[in-house]
Amino acid sequence: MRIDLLADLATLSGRERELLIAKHYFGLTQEELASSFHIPRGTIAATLSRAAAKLRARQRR
Amino acid sequence: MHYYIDVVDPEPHGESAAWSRRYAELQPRLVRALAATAGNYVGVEDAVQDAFAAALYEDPAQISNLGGWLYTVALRTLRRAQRRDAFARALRLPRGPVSASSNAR
Repeated sequence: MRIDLLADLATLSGRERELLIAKHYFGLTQEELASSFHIPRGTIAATLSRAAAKLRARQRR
Repeated sequence: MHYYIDVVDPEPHGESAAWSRRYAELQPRLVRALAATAGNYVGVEDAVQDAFAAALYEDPAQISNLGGWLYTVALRTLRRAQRRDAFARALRLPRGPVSASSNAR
């Protein structure tokens, strides 16, 4: 299965893209994301799961 | 003002070789990741370069994930540059260095 990830990433918000790439491409933990982006951990988790849901919805099509 | 100091590396095959390897490995990844984040390559390589320079001033023991650290630092630089550009556009300021004639009185 080939995923056109770049086209999919373009559908996310800037913040969603930043967090997704920091976590999955560079392996930052949620703690590290919270401290380096100055965002509460709960917001990080919510943003990441929303971004993942958006990407999954696109892949199903 | 900039001061240029020649530094002779006392151990060219030790730490600096390891650093060069990390640079060669991470630089292309950072450029790709930032371009994917921003949606274009404008200012990306400069921001990555600045992040590597900033890393040299950090205590390596404090950076557990160098790639992630560089990404977040470069991202901040890039966002600052984008805000500055947007501000300059909004005010219709000239881009780049001001020419000598526009400074003439």
